[in-house]
Amino acid sequence: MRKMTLLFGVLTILLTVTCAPDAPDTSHFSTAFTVSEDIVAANLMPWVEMLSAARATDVTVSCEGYEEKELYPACHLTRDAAVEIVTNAFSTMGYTPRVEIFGAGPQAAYNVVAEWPGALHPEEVLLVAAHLDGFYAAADDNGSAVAALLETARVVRKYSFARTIRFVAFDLEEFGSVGSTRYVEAGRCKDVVAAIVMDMIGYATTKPNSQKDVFGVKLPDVGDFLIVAGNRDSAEMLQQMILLSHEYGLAKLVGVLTPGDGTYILASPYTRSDHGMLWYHGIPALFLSDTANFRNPHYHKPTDTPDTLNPEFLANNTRALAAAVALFAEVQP
Amino acid sequence: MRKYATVILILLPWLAFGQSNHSPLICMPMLQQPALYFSSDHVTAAGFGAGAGVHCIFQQRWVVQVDINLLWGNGNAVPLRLALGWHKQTAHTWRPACFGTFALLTGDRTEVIFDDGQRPVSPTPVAGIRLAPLRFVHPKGFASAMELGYGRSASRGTCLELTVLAIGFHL
Repeated sequence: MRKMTLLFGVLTILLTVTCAPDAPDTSHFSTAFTVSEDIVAANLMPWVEMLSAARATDVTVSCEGYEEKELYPACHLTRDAAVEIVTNAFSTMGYTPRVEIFGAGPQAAYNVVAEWPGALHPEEVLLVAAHLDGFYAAADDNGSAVAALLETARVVRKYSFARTIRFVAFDLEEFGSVGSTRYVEAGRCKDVVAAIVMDMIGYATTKPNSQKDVFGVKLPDVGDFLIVAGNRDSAEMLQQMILLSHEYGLAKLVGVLTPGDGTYILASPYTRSDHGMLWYHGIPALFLSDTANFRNPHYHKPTDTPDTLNPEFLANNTRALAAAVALFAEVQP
Repeated sequence: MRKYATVILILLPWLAFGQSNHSPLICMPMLQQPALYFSSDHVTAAGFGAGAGVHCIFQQRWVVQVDINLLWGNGNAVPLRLALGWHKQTAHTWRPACFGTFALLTGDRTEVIFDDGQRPVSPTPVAGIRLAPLRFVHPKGFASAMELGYGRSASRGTCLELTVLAIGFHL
């Protein structure tokens, strides 16, 4: 009986001796917030509308080898016009963008890259990415994220950062993260110390039960928030971004921390974009999304048009992005 | 986590060995194949795997089981479970049992971060019940199949458990 008593005692101790991880470092939040204040909401939707309009007359990418399905309209993917728009936008802002071509033939990937060099540690790169290819008008998927990327790229040029900020608009994400995979496998991420990848950040609704849980992970019932997903390597980044956004009222974020490197089968929906290969290679990366088909009824449909987006939601998310970029790139006071 | 496992590993053999058949407390080491799905507002843990523990029968009526498990599917989830129960006395080896359970869920899980950037505390305590309708006890041990468990915890946590097979040997 004495042994049983001892066993209960041990279990009680185990219950009471619980460990909470450390609180995030908040020392640079105020300077990071300053950068987010320069985001101009009115700049965002025109980018989305321009990209969607350009896709209407763009040539579709060869869908050879991909099966056309209802939620996977493989033969309606465009990217050429987006490559041109993004490249020109970077040039207009004063960047010297380059189009990096990976692979050959009709399914070669055209990634657009622009950099804002770091002042103290230029060899350390913060990667900020969104895919530029899309099905049909592709307003949410992924015009919304490209717009946020371009607006953030415009704003950061007013500031100096310790680290280099590299903006990349990846190609052929819809064909299985082709552009980002080839980019990583070509060794272009060896200098990347942190990354933020966006895929669909503009659709929100206040309707009850508009948000589905993602693979058993309970989420709020109303789809008016942005998911920020991280893994073991980006846990601290995730905690910092959530707290930063919350403290300064930037955007409604829900942080999801997946176990391990994030590639376990039950966490696999959270690897469904260009950050997947970064996670797999151990690069700390955050993934921003409105949860795609777990919320947006226009996912991969001709109805994914700019009028279905929530401009205020997109603007708030872009502010949260800009603040996070400033924080992780170490904006200089 | 490592210290919890060490404590359990020290306690298990100590409890399981050195008992006699004439003792009112009979303890035996056991192995099992559990599956678990736990979901709350901040924690999701799930998986299927293996576990080991000690199964004790006190005064031929009361049952106590403590076990530690390693589950795969969403990383390595590690539930540490305590069950206190009663089993039906029958003339045969069939001894269905019901348990009140208490579990500490630790190891890997998917977490929803709090607004202040804090991660949910680990381990997560869960209280519940477990039914073992296909449980058979023999002087040399016990076997139980398809045990079903249900538990609740804070933050709307719900835990569903299935133990496909549990086997204990009286050494």
